[in-house]
Amino acid sequence: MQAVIGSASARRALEVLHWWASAGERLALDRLVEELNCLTLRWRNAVVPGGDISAAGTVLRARILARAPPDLAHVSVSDLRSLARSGVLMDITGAPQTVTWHSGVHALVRESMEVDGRWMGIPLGVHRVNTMAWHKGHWDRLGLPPPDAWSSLLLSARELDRAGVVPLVWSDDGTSLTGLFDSLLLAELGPKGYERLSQADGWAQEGVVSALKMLRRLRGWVPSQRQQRVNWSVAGREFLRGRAGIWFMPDWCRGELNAWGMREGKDYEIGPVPGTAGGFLYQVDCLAAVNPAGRRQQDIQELADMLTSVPLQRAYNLAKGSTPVVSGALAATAAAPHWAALDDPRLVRLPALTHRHGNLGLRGDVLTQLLQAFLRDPTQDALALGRQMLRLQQKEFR
Amino acid sequence: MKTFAAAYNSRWRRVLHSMMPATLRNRVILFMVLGALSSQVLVLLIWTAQAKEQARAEVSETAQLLAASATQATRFIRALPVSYRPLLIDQLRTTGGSRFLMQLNRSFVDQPSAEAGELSGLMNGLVQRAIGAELARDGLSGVRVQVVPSRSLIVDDSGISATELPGQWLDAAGLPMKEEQPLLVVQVGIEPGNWLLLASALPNPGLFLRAHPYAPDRLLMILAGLVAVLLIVVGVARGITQSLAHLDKAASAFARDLTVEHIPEQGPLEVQRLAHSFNEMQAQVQRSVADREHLFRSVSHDLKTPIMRLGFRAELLDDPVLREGFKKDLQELGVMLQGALSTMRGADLPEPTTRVALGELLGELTEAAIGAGAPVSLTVSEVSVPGKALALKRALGNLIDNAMRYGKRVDVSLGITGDCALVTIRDYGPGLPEDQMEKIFEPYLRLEHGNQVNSQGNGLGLWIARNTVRRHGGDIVLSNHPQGGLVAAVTLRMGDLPSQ
Repeated sequence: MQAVIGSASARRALEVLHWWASAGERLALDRLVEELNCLTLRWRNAVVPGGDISAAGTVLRARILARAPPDLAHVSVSDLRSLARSGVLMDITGAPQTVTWHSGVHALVRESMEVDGRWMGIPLGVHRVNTMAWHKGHWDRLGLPPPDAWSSLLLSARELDRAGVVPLVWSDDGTSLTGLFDSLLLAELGPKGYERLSQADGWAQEGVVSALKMLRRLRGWVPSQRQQRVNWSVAGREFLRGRAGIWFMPDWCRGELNAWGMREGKDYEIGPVPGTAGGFLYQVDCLAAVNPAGRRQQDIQELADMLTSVPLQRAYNLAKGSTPVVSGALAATAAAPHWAALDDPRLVRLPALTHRHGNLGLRGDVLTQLLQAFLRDPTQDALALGRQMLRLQQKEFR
Repeated sequence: MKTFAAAYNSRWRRVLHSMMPATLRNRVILFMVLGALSSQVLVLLIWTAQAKEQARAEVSETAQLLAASATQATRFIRALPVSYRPLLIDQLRTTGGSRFLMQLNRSFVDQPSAEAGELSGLMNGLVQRAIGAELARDGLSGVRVQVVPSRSLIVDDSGISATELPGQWLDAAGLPMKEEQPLLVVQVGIEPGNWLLLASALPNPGLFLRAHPYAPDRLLMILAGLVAVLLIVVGVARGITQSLAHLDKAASAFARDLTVEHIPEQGPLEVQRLAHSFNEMQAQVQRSVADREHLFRSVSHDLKTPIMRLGFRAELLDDPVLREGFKKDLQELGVMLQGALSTMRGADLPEPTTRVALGELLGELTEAAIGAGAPVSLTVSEVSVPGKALALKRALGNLIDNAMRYGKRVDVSLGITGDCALVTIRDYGPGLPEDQMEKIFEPYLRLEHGNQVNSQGNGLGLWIARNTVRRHGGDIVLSNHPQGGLVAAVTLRMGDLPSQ
């Protein structure tokens, strides 16, 4: 796609490692690349197939260890923290008089990008994690109540099942599964209890075990042949084709569904997971410069300038389904009414687990694997798993 | 010294002898089982020694391999910048590629010690020495090696155990967690405050878990072998001893009353020969007895004619005193001859062996005397013996007649002693001098006292009685009663009827 041709070699290419492989992600990426390639910078894709954060993490670590890292890498905020503390990332704070792009970034996002007071990541968008999509066609046809509470959701699931529609789908991919578990934790613990997860006895709360039990209960509505671990976009395809009624997915499902030609409000609805309507579990997408020596600081700053510009932010986030990171781009448009949520005073904004692992004690990849094993083995006890999570968190296992 | 040894030796021999089973069958079984047991034990010992030797060789090979890998891994980690080390460890957790589960800790993590098996100790020592020597060249001295049960492995200095980690990580490092298996845990202090923990599955965990040679299942197998041997041996021993038992029965029957039973000449060659000799002996003894009887009978018969002729000739004697003397002597001679002949006939009397009720028999014998007011008392109980009724009646009758003849009063009682019936006949006569107690059984022997009381006796009564009783597997013993009088104790074997 981005073949290095004669004239392009003169331009300064930046290799970016990421795992945006789905339709919506590619569209959003195209918006960036179109804009960037008009400039002297050149964006070179190093995409990890599979669209899975753990596979991308493996590739990134392999390249760092092989001393051939990409210039930039898409990382989760918790990875951003640990990589920054390992000293393999470039400090992109820059001199205050020359670097100005920081100033427009939303305070919430700034907090995420700063590690020990230094800017370590270029933010791209804010995702809401506690969301799900439901198929409007089935709801209208069967006259189902909106799934805004567990009671109505489970009632709808029964009806869908009776109508021969798969009630629920989700992917056991790292981010999708932890996203759902995150939402269930928020629903069970409430915002205060959810905040307490960072504290020493946070995982000892009864709500943790309840969330695990709820996860297993919901799993019961997923047909067994769809329970094997699938890529999230494959799970999305089920929903897209109308085979499934509800898709538990952070809000990048919006970008994906839009890319396939569905329209929010007409073909599908997106809403908070029941019990979490008052909360905004957020997660920030960002790029980290994998270059501790600080080479090409100039090019990186130029790229950050571009990526945080208002037009590009709007274009990119419209396509991705996320929310712009700069306050100037937040003015809600008719095409993106959800952007208002970031500053909605009625919502409590809480960093999602994937965002907070560095502060949680419990590693994100460990949590994901424990949840995957929990769903694979129906005999595993929720209480025992809760205790295991508590121990790993309290001991701050690395 | 020598005498002590000899005494010791003989004492041992006595102890051994007392422990030896009495019957041939049991001896055969004992020796066969002892033989089988000792061979099993010997095989087990040899096998154990060999297995141990083999295990040691395997362990030392494994130890070299693991030590080399651990050294390599340690050097690799040390060569990485400190900040890259966690990345590598994360990488190995997801992708595998190392035989070790690696963990970086701030200090040495003490492991719960495994059951200190001999092989574990060997493994420990070998790996410790090999890695210690290698890493000493890099200037590292803090090397600790342990063999730890997999489910007890503590991975992290905060105390997190391996079982608490995601299964995927353990799989990637090839650590078995489903079942308890020994792991080799190497910890190296790579810098002050930095310890590298390496945990690896042992390539041949069976070596360390392999059942103890004296484990119950193995002992059970030995036991099963012994039972099999025992069953076979019992069968074989029975085959041998059955023919011997047959022979024994026939011999004792022959000894009792010259009953001839032909022994089938079969079984092992030795037993066949024995049976053949026994059959020969039976025939030989029978022939000689028959010859003797024949001779005795013809002599007795032939003597009748000259005695009769002498009688006629004595009539011709003129001297009446001389004539009466001759006649009296001839008469006595005739009585003796008659007695001898009737004895021969009695012995010959073909009579079947039946169950004889001794009480009834004694009642019949004393009935007439008691009816006639003779001082005879009878105490009986229900006792019966296998035997020839008429012969027994005659034998016991002889004894009772004797008692009535020589004593003033007679007590007859019937009881049981051991496995024999006991008939006691006591008279209140003068008794017998001690030196005559055995002599009196000799044929034709008359004592002075007897001659006075019964001049017609022929001296064969006791002899016949004892012969008869002995053929019935019993005996007659005479003794003097402390209060005076003679006691004849007759024992008769009870037991079953010999099956014909």
